[in-house]
Amino acid sequence: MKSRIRFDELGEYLTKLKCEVEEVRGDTLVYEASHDRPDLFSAEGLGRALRSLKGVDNGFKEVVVRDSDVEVIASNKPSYRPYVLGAIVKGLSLDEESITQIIQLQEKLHLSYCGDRALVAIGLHDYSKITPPIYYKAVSEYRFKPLGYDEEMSIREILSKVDKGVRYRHLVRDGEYPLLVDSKGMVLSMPPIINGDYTRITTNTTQFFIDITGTDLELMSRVLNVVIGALLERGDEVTVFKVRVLDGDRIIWSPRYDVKVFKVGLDDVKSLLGIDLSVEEVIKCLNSMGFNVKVLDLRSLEVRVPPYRIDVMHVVDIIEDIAIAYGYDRLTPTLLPPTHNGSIHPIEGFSRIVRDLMIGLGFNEVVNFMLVDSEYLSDLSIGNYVILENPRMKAYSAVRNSLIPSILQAVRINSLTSKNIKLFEVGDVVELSNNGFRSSRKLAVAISTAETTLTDVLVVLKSLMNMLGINYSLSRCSSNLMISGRCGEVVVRGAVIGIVGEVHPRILNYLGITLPVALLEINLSSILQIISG
Amino acid sequence: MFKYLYYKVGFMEGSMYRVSSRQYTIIKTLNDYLVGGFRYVDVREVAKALNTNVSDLMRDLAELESKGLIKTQRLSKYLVRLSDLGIKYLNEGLPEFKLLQVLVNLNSRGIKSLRVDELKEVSKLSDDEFSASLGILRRFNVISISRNVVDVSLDNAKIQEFSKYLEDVKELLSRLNEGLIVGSLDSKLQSIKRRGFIVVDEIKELSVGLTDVALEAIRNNLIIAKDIVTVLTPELISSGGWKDVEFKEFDLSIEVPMVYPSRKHPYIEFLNYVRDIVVSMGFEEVKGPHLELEFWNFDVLYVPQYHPARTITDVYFVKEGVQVRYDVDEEVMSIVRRVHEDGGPANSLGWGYRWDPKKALKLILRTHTTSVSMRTIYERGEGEYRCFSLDRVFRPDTPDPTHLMEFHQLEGIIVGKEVSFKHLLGFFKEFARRLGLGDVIFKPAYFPFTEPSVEGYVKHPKLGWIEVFPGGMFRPEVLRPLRVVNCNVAAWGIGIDRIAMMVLGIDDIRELYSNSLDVIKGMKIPKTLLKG
Repeated sequence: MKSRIRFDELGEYLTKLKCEVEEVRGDTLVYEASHDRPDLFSAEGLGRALRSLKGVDNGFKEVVVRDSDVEVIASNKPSYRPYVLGAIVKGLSLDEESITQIIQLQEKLHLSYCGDRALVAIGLHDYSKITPPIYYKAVSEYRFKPLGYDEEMSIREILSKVDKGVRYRHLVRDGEYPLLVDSKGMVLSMPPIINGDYTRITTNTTQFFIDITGTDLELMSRVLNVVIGALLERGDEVTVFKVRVLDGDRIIWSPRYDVKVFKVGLDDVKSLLGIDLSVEEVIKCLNSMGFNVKVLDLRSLEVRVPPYRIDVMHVVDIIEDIAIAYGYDRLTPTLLPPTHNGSIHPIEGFSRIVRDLMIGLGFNEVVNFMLVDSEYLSDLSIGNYVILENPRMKAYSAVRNSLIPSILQAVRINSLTSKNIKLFEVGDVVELSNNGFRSSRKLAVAISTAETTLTDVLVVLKSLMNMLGINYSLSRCSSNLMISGRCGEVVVRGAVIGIVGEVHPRILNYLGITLPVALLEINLSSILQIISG
Repeated sequence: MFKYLYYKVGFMEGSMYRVSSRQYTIIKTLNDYLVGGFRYVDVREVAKALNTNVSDLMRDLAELESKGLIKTQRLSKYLVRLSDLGIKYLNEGLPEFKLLQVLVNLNSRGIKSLRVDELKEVSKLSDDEFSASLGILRRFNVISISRNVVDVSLDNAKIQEFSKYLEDVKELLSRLNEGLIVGSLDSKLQSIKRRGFIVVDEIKELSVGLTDVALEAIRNNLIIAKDIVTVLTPELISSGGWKDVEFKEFDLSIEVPMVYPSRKHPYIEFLNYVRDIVVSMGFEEVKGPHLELEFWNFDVLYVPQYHPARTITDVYFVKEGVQVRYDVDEEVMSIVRRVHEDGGPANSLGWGYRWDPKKALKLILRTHTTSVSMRTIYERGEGEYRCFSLDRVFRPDTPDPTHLMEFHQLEGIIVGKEVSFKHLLGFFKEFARRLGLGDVIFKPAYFPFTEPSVEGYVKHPKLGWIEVFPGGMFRPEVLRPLRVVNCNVAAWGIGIDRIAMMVLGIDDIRELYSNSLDVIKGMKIPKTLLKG
């Protein structure tokens, strides 16, 4: 059934399908579909959904999958890609455009759900070329014509010469290459790399064999259903046939193109959305989203979900579709009065007080990243910090356990324009110890002028602690960062909660800072803990 | 400017006159006029000489007068101009002239007398004109009246005398036609003023001149200009010396240097502003670890372990070797496993794959603060509460103007029996209002852990509608393992940096995390915060 849609209508419908229009070029519309709706990754699926929204279709056509005696024999299969599924689809009529759309669907699925073929790979074949049974097995070498090539090649050649071979060879293991061949030894595909040219699809193809290989049967089955759902749109009398997968001792019938059935109560709808909808309204909404509906009683419905709607796992998924069909703009945003007084976290309240005091003392606040250069930390002889397994840049390859490295960088940057630097930062760090890790809030203070000495930061420490009403003592310590004999640990009730010192000239030279720098760092989380007892 | 008019030689301080430099110039100006022969000088002349205007001078003149150095003379002059009536009579002739013509006419027709009312009738003058004219003619003895009868046997000598009077008045009126300034109003002017032929405006003039005392003082060099000081020193204050000095006027147009107060970081100020807004909406702030188990970051949130968002391109993994105390409840973990594998007790189909506890116990940097919400719901379970967190999250990225590898997320949950999707929309709308972001529009969205899901859009001054408010209702697959069955949870996780950029008016996200004082200095306090 054909129908036209006005362009402004289309925008509204696409929003309801969570699609975003990216670009319109002549008669081509580029849209971005949401990850949860792979059934919209092709023109077939989008057309189907639009027909429902427009009211051309009322629900979806439930198809009966027929049996066949075609077998897919999976013995001696590759250990790292252990599963295969298949399906036969007959009665297709294809043109160039529909082939383009189906291949686009396959590619979009590969990139998203299939984890760029690592999890699942899809192969589409001209079934009329295949002589069953079909074998899925691991081979150490084989020669065949890869898709789009005129000559036979060895697998090794394919992996080194053919584009797809080079791109996906990391997904196969040497000498244990997955292969799908028919009973005559003709190659359907070498998943997840490339198909054989023998079963290539053309505009003359009317029968498909779909192969699905991968590591997760459920995910494979979902992907297969999305592909079948799209192919059903390409012909008036399209029929789907099951194949029998002999997987060791197991027999798996594939596909499982089953309608999913959920019971939706109007009370559930009301509880989740906050609106009271009539049965008629809910049915109208569900039909426009392409579901079949049966009324069970006055307050509940049976909702039948098409197999290609693989995002529907729970009643809430259906309720969302009801809300979308009803229109988010028709839901009245309602302010729920607070049940309690709000409050900020104690450490945030304490940090505000400390920041106010530092401003009062004439210091400027800076902000730095928590991610720092691990090499920089080791150059400063700082240990016990978290290192990232997969940093994108060396500059952000570790998590800071102290504010000192970053505030020293801030001193360096600002020393280019100022000879009178008074900075502080209040920020989070992650500290490591023998029994684990913890996030802490710290304060760091840096002073750098031509006359700066330890006294300057000791004054800050004393003034700050006086205002906070905390008694502390200083004890000598040694630090690779500080000048020996010109640094100390800050001790409160026997616990070391901070450090003061004059930065060692070796470090200043390393950083390219030409004026002396005095530092103070204290652990605000520890102090707050002491204050709160 | 010169300081002394004459050099003073050995006089006692006490007899001196210290005046401001301007007063000194006034005295000098008056002295110059005196030398030129003018004892009194119009203040307008003085003002012109000082390059100022009269009203500015009055204060100085009053001070000089009170010191006895000048005396003032106030003169009144009159500006006399014709009134409308005067102009009319100048053009048409006076009414007494018209009446005379009537009389002459009557006389020539042989009429020697007639009644006053008959005369008025033939004269065609108004009541006022007629009675005034009759009075004047009578005064000049041109006519006489007895018993209400006018004698019109005219005497030529009298008429001539009267004509001379008419000529005088006419000449006076034509002279006044242009306006005339006179020192006083003589009897003629008084009389035509009484008859309303003229309007008189008084002009007051002020002249000043030096007193004898001043002249004496000048002769003896006793008038001295005060010192001009630019700074009021402590010494001037305590010695009383301020009385004898003059403070230099400030040129208000001169640029002064800019001073930048030491200040809190604008971004942290903004974050605290946001905190206060969320607190005012009844939310309690909670915190959680930056280093997190995949379990709390993903598995509890029903994100399947094979999901692309859980791979090295999207998550920072922590290098092995960090000691982990697994704070994961075995029972919760086993329900999470079942929910992932087959839906378990969550009435869900589940993802249908083999869940791996080892993957769940991997250590990462949290990718969102939704992990904090998970821990909060785990601790508190069912009930009526609202919590939020506002902290850093991490995702692998290369910094550029719109991307960072760490940023702040504002995360919140509303837990309760009656909480529904429309309340989430209500929260977004109110939050946007309080932040001054204007109206919000809502569109369907997808997040693995919420259903329904929504994205709220606000209007950006440059970019149009931008997505800023992602949220939804936590899925039962998320809530069931945390033992929440009878409550709904509305949840939102806002990338607050984007809103901060809007409010602070900056285009490069890296500036939010700047440690350069030059950059921080350049950030003005945003209007939104100023308005409170």
